[in-house]
Parts: sequence; structure tokens; C-alpha cells
Amino acid sequence: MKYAAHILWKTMVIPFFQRNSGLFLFLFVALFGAAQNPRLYHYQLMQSILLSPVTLSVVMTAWLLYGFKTLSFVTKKLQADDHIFIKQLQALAPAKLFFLFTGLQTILIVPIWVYAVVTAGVGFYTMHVLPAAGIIIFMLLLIVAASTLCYRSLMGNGTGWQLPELPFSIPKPFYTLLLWHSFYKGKMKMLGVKLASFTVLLIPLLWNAGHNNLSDFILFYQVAIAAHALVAYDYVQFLETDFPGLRNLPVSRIKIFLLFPVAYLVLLLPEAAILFYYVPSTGFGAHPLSLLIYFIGQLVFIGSIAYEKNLNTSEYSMAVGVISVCSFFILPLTAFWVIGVVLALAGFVIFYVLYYKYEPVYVEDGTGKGLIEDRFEQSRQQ
Amino acid sequence: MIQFTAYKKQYSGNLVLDIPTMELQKGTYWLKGINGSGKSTLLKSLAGFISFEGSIGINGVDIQKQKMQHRRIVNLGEAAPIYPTFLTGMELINFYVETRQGDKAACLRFCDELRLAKDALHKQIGAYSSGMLKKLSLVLAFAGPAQWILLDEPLITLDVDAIAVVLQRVETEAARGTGMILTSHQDMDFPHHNMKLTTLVAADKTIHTLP
Repeated sequence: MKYAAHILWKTMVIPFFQRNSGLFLFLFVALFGAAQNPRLYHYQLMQSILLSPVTLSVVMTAWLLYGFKTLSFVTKKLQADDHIFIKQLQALAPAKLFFLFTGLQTILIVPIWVYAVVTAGVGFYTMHVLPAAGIIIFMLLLIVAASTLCYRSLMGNGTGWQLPELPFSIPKPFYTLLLWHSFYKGKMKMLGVKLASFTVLLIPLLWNAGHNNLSDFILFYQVAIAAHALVAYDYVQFLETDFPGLRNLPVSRIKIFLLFPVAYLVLLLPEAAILFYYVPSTGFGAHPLSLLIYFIGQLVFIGSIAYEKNLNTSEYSMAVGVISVCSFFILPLTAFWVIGVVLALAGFVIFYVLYYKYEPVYVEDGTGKGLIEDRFEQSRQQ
Repeated sequence: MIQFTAYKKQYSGNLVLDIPTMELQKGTYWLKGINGSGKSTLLKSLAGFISFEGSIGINGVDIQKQKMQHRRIVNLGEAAPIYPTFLTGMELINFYVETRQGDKAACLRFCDELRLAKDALHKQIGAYSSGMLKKLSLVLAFAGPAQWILLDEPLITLDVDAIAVVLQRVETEAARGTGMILTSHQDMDFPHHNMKLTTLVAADKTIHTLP
């Protein structure tokens, strides 16, 4: 049992937190570093969670999404070819195995249950017992459900739930290639990113409307952009891993680069609708179109960074975190469309320079004789 | 002609291939070597899949500098081809024919010869068997007026009939004057036996030309 726990620690816990270190750093800075009085800010936020069923639902949805993220990570690892040895855990007694997965899930969701427990503590202290108890029960159910699904994943041989494919073929012009990838292969990822994006945009624009200024809103906006960095990376990986033959075709770099802004333009239509509907009435003084250009510009920039030679996901996450934090320093300029255009142009230059120098991450081939392309690892990361 | 000058390829600091100078006149070459000897790396370098140190000139076109011209004259058929699984075979053929300015009818004829059925071409690639995928990759490798065609293990996963068709096609292309470099661990029994096949050996992190 001790050794089984050690294996899960090394194959699941450490890789999960390493891979998401950039995201955690960014969230920590955004939630605790950016607020003027973090203690008061979070006390008020917790009270809002406890008093407003709508806010509680939104927060619980966010926690649930995080739970999906950890669950997806673990189940993909359990089914991965190079983690086949973990199937040995099937030999353990069911109760022990379930206990192991419960421990694993509890560790993986530490960032959210710590906040949930503190929120519940505030609830019990301020005599809001029902929502506080609800939060505790929700967390326990989340851990038990995730552990059960991990257990079933280990015992079964399925690769997870997928939406059915269309029974007919629709024309797929070149510039829609990335969108089709999102539709076919990245559905769940896109769904998660969009839910996260809507949630962080609607908190300042709808649920907390009238209590924010532009700089507060931008904090949330930046989180929405950072969430989409996952999509930008996924697109680069798709082109390089699923369509390497593109490099042998006489297709110009400009044409390949344009795949990205075209995809983002369509992808961000829901966010554009939210911005055009809510922002004009907020008095932020920023035009929705200007904000949208900034969003696309930064995504283009971030996507181009993903073409850095031998860049792995941890380094990419770190880069996204750094870019997001640095963005806070230039945003007081408030000329969002100008910043967006500059970022897009800088992204194009970076892409143009890096594209033909790009190489994927290489890892030891396991025989000690050489290196192989880390395609399997990258597929898992997706 | 292919000219290598101070060519080196390293993966994460590990030297895989080092070719100080080498010239390959237009012709048909059989590149041999054990697994991991750098055969695929050489073909990927020649096709523009991967970056490298030094320079390679193909028919006077510098791979690293004249990227578009280079990609118009060199086609690669990969050993283990990968394409977006949501595209159909026909969509890929259309795309390759458009970008390479190839002949779609000729591609479809080659599909017929390989017994890659038309209804299969309208299915998503995710539903293809490894043999079907290999056949499609060979059709794409022969799409367009290339001056050099590079085929990495073109015969693996193919059925006996398809192997004969591919070898026939290689012979025909070579007779037309297209330069060819093939890697194969299988014997290649060309139908007309009148093709001059030069052997290259990948070993000791370089390429040797056999007399």
C-alpha cells in the first residue's frame, strides 16, 4: 500500500502540479496578489458565496470543472500505454484501492477544498449553517465521485466518454482546420475552457455588476484569456503532431499563421456577445471591440510562444503565467486595441522566426539507446 | 542533384547524423541501415520536416532559405503517416493536389490501382486501417510534379498486390527522371528489373555511398 501510494504520488500528483504550475501561480497572483486588501476581499467573496445561491452555484460549477480536470488527468494516465504498469493496482483489495484513489483525489483538489473549508468555516461562524454544510457535503461528494470514477477507469479498459461523430462530411476549408479540430477532438477541452471563460466574465459583468471598475474587470478578463491559452497550445500540438505533413507542403507561413486568428475570431464569438451586451452599460470606458482585439492579440502572441523549440507544457504554462502577470502592468494604458494589435504583430514575428526551427519535446526511448519524439506524452497532455 | 554541406542533426544535444559533404546525382537510391541509424531523420531533413545545421541544396534550391520552392520539388511519404483524423481521404487528396498543383485524376487512378476504394476516400481517416492510411500517404507522396520523392518504408503494412503496384510506380517515376530515395527493410523486387538502384548506408552517424 505504501509503495502503491508512492507510485501514484510520482506518476499522478507531481506531474499534475508541475504541469499546472503556471496556472496556479497566475491564479494565486490574481486572487491574492492583485486585490488591495486580500483578507477583506476574500471574506466578502466568501460571504457572497454563502448568501447568494447564484454565486454559490457559479463557484460550485468552477469547483466541479476543476474536479473534471483532475479526473480527466488521472483517467488518461491510467489508460496511457506508458502507464500500463499501474494496472497492477487491480490486484489490490477493492477497499484499499478505493482508499488510495480517495487520497489521490483529495491531494489533487487541495487548491479548491482548502478554500471550500475556509468558506464553510466562515459560514458556520456567521451562522449560515445550511450553505456551509452544503459546501462540505459537495466537496465530500466530489471526492467520492471522482475516486469511484478513477476506480472504474482502472478496472475497465475504456478510454473515456466521447460525443458521437457526425454521420456525414461537411466541407472543411483550410482556414477552418483548427476549428474542426476543436469540434472533433477538443470538444471536452473547449467546453471546459468556455465554461471557465463565461464564469470569470460574468462574475464582474453580471453577478457583481456595479461594484467593479475597469481594473477589477481586467483581472477576470485576463483569467479568461489565460484559460484560452490551453486552446492555443492545443492548436500548435495538433498541427505538429496530427498533421506533420503540412511542413512538406508549399504552404506559406503567413497562410499557416492566419489559421490562428481566424480560429480565435470564431471561437471568441460567445465572449464577444457577452462583451457587447454588458460592457457598454458598465461605465468602464473601454469599447467591447477594443477588448476583443486585445483578447485575440494576446492569444495570438501566446500561441506563437508555443512554437519555441522543445517547449514542454510546464514551460508553456509558466510562460502564460508570466505573460498574464506582465499584462497587468501595461493594461493601465487602457488602449486595448492598440496593445492587441501590437501583440498580434509581435506574435506574427515570433511565429515567423520560430516556425521552421520548431521541434517537439524529445524523451528517452526507454532502451537507453536514443531519443524519440514525445508524441504520446503530448497526446496525454492534451 | 542533392548537395550536403556541413550537415548535422542533433536531438536535444545528441548527434544523430553528421554529413560533412556529400552529393547525390539524380537517380534512385535505396537507403539502408539499422533502426535508429538516422534514415528517417535524413528523409525528414530533406523534406523540410525538421531543422538542422549546415545546408542542403536540392537542384540548386537551398532547403533552409528557399522554403516554398523546396517544398514544391520534394515530396515525402512517411513511414508512419499521421493526418487529422476528422478529415476524409478525399479532402486530403484535394488539399495536396491544390497546394502541389497536382493532377487529381492521376491521384484517383493510383488509389484505384492500390485498391483504395472510392467510398473509403469519403470516410474520415480516423476510421482507416494502418494499411489504408499507408496507401493514402503513398498517393499523397506522388501527388504533384516533384523532382525528388522520398519514401520512408513504403512497403510496410501493405498487402502483396499493393506492394507490386508501389514498386511499379517507383519504377515509372524513376524512368520519368524523378529522383527517388527509399528506405526499406524488405527486399524490393522491381517488376522490370531494369532500374539502376544505388545503395546508401546509414551507419556511424553518417551516410556512406556504396560503389
